[in-house]
Amino acid sequence: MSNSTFKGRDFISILDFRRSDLELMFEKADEMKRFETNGTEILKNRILATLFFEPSTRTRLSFETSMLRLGGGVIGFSDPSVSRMSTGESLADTIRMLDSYANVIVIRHKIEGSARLAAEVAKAPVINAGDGSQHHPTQTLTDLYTMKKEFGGIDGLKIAILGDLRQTRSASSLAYGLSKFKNVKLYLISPDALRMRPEVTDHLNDSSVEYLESSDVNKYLPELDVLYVTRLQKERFTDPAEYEKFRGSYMVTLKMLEESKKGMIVMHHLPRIDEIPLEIDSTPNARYFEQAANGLAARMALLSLIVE
Amino acid sequence: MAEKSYSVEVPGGEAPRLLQLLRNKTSSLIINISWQGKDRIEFTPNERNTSLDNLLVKIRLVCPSAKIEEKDDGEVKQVSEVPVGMWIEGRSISCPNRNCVTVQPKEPTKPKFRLVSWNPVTLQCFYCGRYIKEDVIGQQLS
Repeated sequence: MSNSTFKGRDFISILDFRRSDLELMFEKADEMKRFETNGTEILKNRILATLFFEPSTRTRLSFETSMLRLGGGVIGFSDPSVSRMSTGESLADTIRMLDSYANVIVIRHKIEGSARLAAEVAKAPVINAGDGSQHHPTQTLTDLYTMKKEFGGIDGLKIAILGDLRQTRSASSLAYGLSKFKNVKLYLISPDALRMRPEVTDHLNDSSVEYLESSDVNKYLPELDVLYVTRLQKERFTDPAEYEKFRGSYMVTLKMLEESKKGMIVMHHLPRIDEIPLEIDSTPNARYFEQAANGLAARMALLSLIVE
Repeated sequence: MAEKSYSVEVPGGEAPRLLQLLRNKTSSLIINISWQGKDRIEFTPNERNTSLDNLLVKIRLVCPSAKIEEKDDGEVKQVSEVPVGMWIEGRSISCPNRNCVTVQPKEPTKPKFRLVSWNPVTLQCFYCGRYIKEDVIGQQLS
């Protein structure tokens, strides 16, 4: 796919793009690395609108930094109580209004399907920065880019996704993204009640992705190239007692790293709670801060490709 | 111009589940309960029923094994199966996910569902991606 076919496209799910599109974005992200500090003027006079109806640190700040480094400007809010939606304005009306101000809209919302609705309403391209438990395509773009940089490619990797797979959008989104690559083996590790949702595993089946589901990560450590750890999604449990039941189910330990395959990396979409203790940070396996840093180049690449 | 009519044959005892679906949508309706171990419903859609295709799909969603025949000016033909992957639009089915944008009262969405499987009947919401299972679909339609 050429750069021009990206222009104006929405990015709601990682499934919206083909493998070749993702590979082009990786190449573009490599190019963007040189602009991360000093910037460029590629998107001069373009405006990014950020609508964050849910808390965000990395995603929002990296989008805003990306647009500023590309020479554009940023409008928006990270606290919905300061918008008219707090007085009852619909999301659709809010998007229609912003559409006339911005060249690209980034939205995060707890309501699932919000980004898809925004894309239907807006003429400007819409990027989904997370909707409920469903999709988080730019996190996945960052995750895949990090794996590609670490291993030179993604085909054939053995990757465990660990934790709350039912409610973590980064987990389902990553599973969707990995389905684009060849001979990837997925280890879906979670308590039984927090298994990956059936629409995701059906997609893996339809895409002929080899995967297994288990609650025990330890026995697979000698096989894994990537241990992708997720946070228990406290905000999505309707029953606090259920959250407490699963809290602390998985914690990465130094002993686990000793038993792992040489070169295995530990990734996390962040923020972490207690699933990765501080002592892991200084091990050669830890990659979550590099992963977060790669989000800047990945989002700069995406913006530079889709903004008119 | 002669009106088209339809004959729906379903397993014995299943016909009552379809009645709610057909209420106010037919100009004539004949029900034959447990005819040779099968229930049979014959109906002529009323003129106001502009979403006949959707009605036939809904009959299949409530009774996947329904055999549907169309009678048009003396000619009888089988109404073909709805293929897996087809999209079904409309508000007669509602996404059961309370966190889906389609059930937010102020948002102008037009619910749309992909037929994932006939056995068991499973739909997938276009907006939130969640699966809707047979029992929920049956409850909503019948």
